[in-house]
Amino acid sequence: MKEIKRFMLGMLIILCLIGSQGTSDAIEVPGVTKDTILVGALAPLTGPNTTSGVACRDGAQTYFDMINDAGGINGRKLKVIWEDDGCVPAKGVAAVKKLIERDKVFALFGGVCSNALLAALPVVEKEKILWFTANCSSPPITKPVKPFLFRAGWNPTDMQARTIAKAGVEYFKVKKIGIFHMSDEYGVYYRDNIKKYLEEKNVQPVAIETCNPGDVDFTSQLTRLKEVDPDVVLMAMWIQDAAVMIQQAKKLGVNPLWIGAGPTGEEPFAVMAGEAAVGTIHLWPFKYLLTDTHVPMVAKFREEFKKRIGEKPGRPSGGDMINYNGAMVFAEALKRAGKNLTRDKLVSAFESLKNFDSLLATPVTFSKDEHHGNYGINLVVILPKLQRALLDIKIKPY
Amino acid sequence: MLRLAQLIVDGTVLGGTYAICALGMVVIFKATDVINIAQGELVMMAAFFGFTFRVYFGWSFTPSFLLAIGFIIFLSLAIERLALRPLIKAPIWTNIITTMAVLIILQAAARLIWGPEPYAFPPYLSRMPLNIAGIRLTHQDVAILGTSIIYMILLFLFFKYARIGKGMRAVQMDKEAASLMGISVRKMYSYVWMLNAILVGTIGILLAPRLGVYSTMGLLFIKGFVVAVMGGFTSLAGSIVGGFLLGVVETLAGFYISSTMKDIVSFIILILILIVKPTGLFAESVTKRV
Repeated sequence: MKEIKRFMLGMLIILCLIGSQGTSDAIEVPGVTKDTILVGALAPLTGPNTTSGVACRDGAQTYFDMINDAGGINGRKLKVIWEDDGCVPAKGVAAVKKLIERDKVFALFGGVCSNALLAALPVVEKEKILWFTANCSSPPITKPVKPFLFRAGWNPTDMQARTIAKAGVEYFKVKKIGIFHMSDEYGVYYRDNIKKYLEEKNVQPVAIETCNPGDVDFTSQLTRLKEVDPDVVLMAMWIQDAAVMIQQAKKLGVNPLWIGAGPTGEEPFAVMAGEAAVGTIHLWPFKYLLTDTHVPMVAKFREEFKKRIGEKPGRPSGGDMINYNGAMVFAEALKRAGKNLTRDKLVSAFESLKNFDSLLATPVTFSKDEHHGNYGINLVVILPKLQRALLDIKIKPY
Repeated sequence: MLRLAQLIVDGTVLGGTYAICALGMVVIFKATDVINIAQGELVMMAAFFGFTFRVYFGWSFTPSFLLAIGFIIFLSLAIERLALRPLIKAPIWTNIITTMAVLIILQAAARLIWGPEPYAFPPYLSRMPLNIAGIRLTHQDVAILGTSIIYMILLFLFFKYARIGKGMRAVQMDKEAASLMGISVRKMYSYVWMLNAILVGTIGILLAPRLGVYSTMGLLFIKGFVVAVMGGFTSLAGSIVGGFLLGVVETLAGFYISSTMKDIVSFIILILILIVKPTGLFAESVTKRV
C-alpha cells in the first residue's frame, strides 16, 4: 500500500512538471500576449529628483493611454508597470530585476537618473531586454553603443555642459565664471565637462561650489560666491534644490547670470523659485515652448495631458513633453517591429528609425553604430509671471 | 566680520527649526518614554495640510495655518491613541519601532493623497530681503526665528506656571506619584502630543514656502533627533542650546571646511559631545531603584 502511494505521488510530481513545461511553452515572448504588450518603466518617484520622475511617468503615460484608446499597436494594448528607482542605483537594480523576473515585461522604458540605469545595465544585457530612455543623459549610456540601450530626448551630459559653458564664454563673453553643482554623479560629470571646455578656452573658473542632493541651506556656498562676484554661474542641480538655492541667493544679494542645466529648464523650477528665477537661463530640448499652442503637436500634447493628468502650475512641463515625445518614438519602434513581436525585432526596429519626426523635437535617427537618436538643444530664459522665451542662440557644443 | 555675522545669523535661523523639532521630541520622551522617530513626518503632514487649505481651497494664510494646526493635532492624538497608548508598558525599543512604522505610513499616505511630486507653497510674507546693519534676512527668516524664540519662552512659562504644564512635569518626574495625586496620566500623554503638534505644525507651515512641500521632506528634520540627543534627551534647555549650536556650527563648517561635509560635521560634534558628556549637554540625572 505504501509503495502504491509513493508511486502515485511520483507520477503526480512528474505530471506537474510536464504540465508546467507545457504552460511555459505557451508564452513564447515574455510580456507579449495576443492583446497586450507589457512594458516595465522606471522613474524616481521618491527622493530629490521626484519632480522629473513624475514628469517622466505622466508625460509617457499620456501618450501610451492615448494610443491605447486608439486601438493600441498592431492590435495590442500597452500595459505599463511603473517602478520607483528613487535615483538610487541599488533601487534601480532591484526595480529592473522585479520587472524582468517577476512581472516578465517585454521591454523597458524611462528612467531619469543615469546612475540607476547604468547600475542595472548588467541585468539588462544578461536578459537581452531593450531599454529606451528620453531622460538619462550620461554619455556612457550610448557611447560606446550598448546593443539594448537607446536614447532620444535630452542630449548627452557632456554636450549639455559644453553648451552652457559656451553660452557663458562665447555668447555672453563674460570673464568671471563660477560653477555650482551637486555632489552626485550627474553634478560631478557636469562640472568636469564644463572645466574641460573652460581649460580649452584658457578660462579659469573663479569658484566651484558643491552641494549634496536634498540640501536645504546654501548659505556657505553663496557667501563664498558673493565674495568672488562671478558674472555667470553655471549650475547643475535638481529642481527642488536649485529652487531653494536661488531664493537664498537673492536674499544674500548674489546676483550673477545663472545658466542652468536640463532639470532647471522645466517649469516646476520657476514655480517653486518664484520671482527669484526671473532672468535665469536654462537648457531646453525642444524647438517649441509649451505655450506655442499654435503648433498642432504642442496643442495636441497639452490637450491630451489636460484630459488624462490635469493641468496645474508648472504642469505640463518640459519633462512631461520630453517623455511624451519619447513614448512616441518607443511606440513607433514597436509598430515597426510588427505583429510577431520579439525582443530582437524591437532592437532592429529602433535601428531602422531614420529621420522619424515627432513634430515636437528634432527628428530621430538610430543605426547599429548610433543609439542616441537626436542632437540639438536650445536655451530658454525665464521671464516675469512664469513666462519664458527661447533665446535666439545657436550653440554647437563641439 | 560682516561675513561671519551673516553666517552666524543664518545658522541661528536654521538652528531655531532644529531646536523646535528637538523640543517636541524631548517633551514627548520626558512624559511618555517614547522617542518619536516620526517627528519630521508630522512636520511634513502639517505642511501638506497647510498647502491644501492655502492652495487647493484658496484660503488666506491665517485660517489655513490655524486649520492645519488643528488637523495635525488631531493626527497626533490619533497616533498617540492608536499606535502608542496600547504599548504604554512596552520596552523603549518597541516604541521606537512603532514610531518608525508611523514614519513609513505617513510618508506613504502623503504620496497616496498628494502624489510624489513637490509643490510650491505661496509665501505668506514678502520675499524681498531685509538689510539689518548689513545682515541680509528675509521676512520669513525673521518669522521663523521669532516664532521659534517665542515658542521657547511660552514653553518655559507653560511648564512653570500653567496647571497642565505642571501636571506634565509631575508625570515626567513620577507617573505613579502623579496618578496618586489625582493627575490623569493618560490625559497628560494626550496633552503632550497636542503640544508637540503645535510646535512641529508651526515649523512645517512656516518653512514650506522656502522648502516646498513633498512627501520626504520629513527626513530633513532628522537633525531634530540629533539635537535632542546632544541636549541629553531630557533637557529642554539642552535642546534649545543644542539646536542653535548645531545650526551655527553646520553653517560655519559649510563655509570654512566644506559645503558637502557639513552633515558629517554635525555628527562628529554629536559624537564628541557624547564622548565628553555621555548623557548629553544638559541631561538631568536619572535615578532608578535597583
